[in-house]
Amino acid sequence: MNAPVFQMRNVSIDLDSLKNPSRRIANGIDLELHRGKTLALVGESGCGKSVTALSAMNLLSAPLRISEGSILLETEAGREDIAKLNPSGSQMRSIRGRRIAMIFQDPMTALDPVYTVGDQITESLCQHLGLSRKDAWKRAVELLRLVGIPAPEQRARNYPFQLSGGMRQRVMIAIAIACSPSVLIADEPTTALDVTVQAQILELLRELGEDLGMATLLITHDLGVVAENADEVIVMYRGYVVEKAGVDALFDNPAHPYTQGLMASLPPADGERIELTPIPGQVPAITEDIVGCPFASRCPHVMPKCGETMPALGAISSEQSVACWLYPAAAEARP
Amino acid sequence: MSKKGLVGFGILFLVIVAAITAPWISPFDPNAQDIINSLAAPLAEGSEGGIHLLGTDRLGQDVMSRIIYGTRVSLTVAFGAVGVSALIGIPLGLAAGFMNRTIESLVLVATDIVLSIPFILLALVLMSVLGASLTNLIIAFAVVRWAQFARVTYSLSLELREKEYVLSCKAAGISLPRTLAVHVLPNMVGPLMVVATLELAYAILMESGLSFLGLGAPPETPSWGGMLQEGRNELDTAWWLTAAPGIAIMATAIGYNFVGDWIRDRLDPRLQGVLR
Repeated sequence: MNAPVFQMRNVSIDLDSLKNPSRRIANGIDLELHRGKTLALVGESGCGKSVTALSAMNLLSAPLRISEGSILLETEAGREDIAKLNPSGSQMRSIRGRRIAMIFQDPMTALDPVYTVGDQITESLCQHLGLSRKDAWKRAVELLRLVGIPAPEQRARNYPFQLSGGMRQRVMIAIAIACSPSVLIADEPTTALDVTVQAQILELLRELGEDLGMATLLITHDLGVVAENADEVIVMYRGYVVEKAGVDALFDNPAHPYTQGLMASLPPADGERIELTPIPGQVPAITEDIVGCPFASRCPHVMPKCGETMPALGAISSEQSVACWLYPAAAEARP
Repeated sequence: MSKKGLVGFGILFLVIVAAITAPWISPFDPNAQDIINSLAAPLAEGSEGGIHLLGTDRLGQDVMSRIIYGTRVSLTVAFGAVGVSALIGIPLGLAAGFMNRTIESLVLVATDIVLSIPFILLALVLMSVLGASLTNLIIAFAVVRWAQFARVTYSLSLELREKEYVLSCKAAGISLPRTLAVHVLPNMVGPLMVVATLELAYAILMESGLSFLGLGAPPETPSWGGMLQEGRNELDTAWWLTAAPGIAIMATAIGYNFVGDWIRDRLDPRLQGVLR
C-alpha cells in the first residue's frame, strides 16, 4: 500500500479539570489514512471517537489537549506534524478546510441560517484559494452539482431552511470538499438523517473519496454503515483502540470480546427474529480510575491478568490486530 | 402588523419628523421671549400674532415650539447613548463569550458591578464632574448601560458558540474575528434590536430625569426634562408647563417599548402563527 496521507502516532488526549489534572481520555491512538480509502472508527457513546476526530484537526480546546504523540499530514511541502502547531494560529487555519475538512453530524445546525448555501460554499473558496466572488460562485454551483443537488444554480440561492435534511448534508459535503482536501473527517455524517437518505449520502461520500482521491475517516456507531462503506475499521472502547482490522476480517472473525459483543447485539441480516444479546453492564464513567483493561468488568472471558495491565495492540493476522490477553501470542503489555 | 406595533411606529415617526422639520413646523422661535405674554394659557394669542397652542412659560417662550425642538435633544441623546453603549457592550460580550476564561470573568464581574450601582446616582456623579452637555449625557449613559448589552450578548454567545456552524467555521479554517463578525453577530441581531429599543426608552427617561435635576441638557437648549424642571414651580398656576413635556416623554417612551415588543414578537417564530 502507498504511504499514508495522514497518520496519528501514539496520540493521547488529556482532560484537565481543577480536581484532576491530566485525566487521560484517549490512550496512544494510532491510525493511518490512505488516498481513496475509508477508515471507520467505531465505538459507543463516550468512547473517545469524537475527541479523536477533533484532535485530528487540532481543534481541541481547553480543558482538552493533545498530551502526547504526533499527527502527521502529507503535503506538497513534505510531512508536517500538526499536533505541534498552535491550534488557533494561522498555519493551522490554513490547513483546516484546505487540507483536512470535516463534516458534522447535524446538518440542521451546521449551516448558518442567515446566509444562502452558495455564500457558505464560496466563503471557504475565497478564504483558502483566493478566488474572486464570481469565480467562487461558479465553483460553488459546480460543487453542488457534483454532490448531486438538482438545479444547482437555483439551489445555491436558497437558505438552509429551504432545503431538506439530506440536501443540507449534501451542501455540507460540498463545503467540505470545496478546496479538494486530502483528508475528510466525517463525524457521524448520517445520524440525523433517515435511513434511505443515509445510504445515498454514504454512497456519495464513498464515490467522492475514490474519485477525488481523498482519505476518509468515518466516525460512526452503526456497524451496518461500517460494513457497507469502510475499507478498514478501528474499534474503540473507552479511550483505547481495542481492535484494528480490514472490514472483511472484522466481520468474519471479530477478535476482541468487545467487538464480538457488538456483533452479537446486531439483528441478523436475513430478517429472522431472534433475541438479541446485549453486552452486560455499562461503559465505565470517564471519571473512574481503571487499572488494566477497561472492558474487564463486562468481559465474558475475563482473567486475573486483565485487572492488572492493559495489553497493547498485537497482530493476529496480516490485516488484524487486537489488544486482548486472550491472544497470548500477540498480546504484550503496553509500554 | 399588530396595533401595538402600528402605534409604536406612528409615535416614533412623528417624533423623527418633528425633529427634522422643527424650524418649519414650529409656530414660534423656541427661545423668543415674549415677556408680556408670560405664563399665557394654552390657545392664548401672542402679542405679535399667532396662537400659543400649548401656552407659554415664565419667559413667554412658546411651549409648543419648545416641545418640537425638544425632540432633537431627545433623539440625539437616545440614539447616541444607545449607539455608544452597544458599541462598547456588544464587543465585550462577544469577547466574554468566545475568548478565554480570564476575559470572561473580567467582563462578567465588571457588568455585575456596574449594574449593581443605582443608575441615577452614578449618572449624577458623572454629570456633575463632566458638566452639563449633550455629549456628556451620552457618555454618562454609555458608562452604565454598556453592561446591559454586554450581558445579553454574552448569554447569546453561550448559546451560539455551541452551534455546529460556529465549530464548522473553525474546522473550515475561518479566523475567529471573521467568524464572529460574519456568522455570530448576524444571528444575534434580533434579540439585540429588542434590547436596543428598550434602552432607547430608558435613555429618554434618563435624559429627562437628569435634565429635571438640572444636570442634563444645558439650559438654553430646549429639552423635555429641562422644561419639566422649569415648570415645576408653576405647577399650581400653569399646569401646561409640566403636562406637555410630561406627556411627550411618556408617549415617546411607550412608543419605543411598543416597537421593541413588536420586533420581539416578529422574531419569535412561535408567535408568527398567532400574529398572522
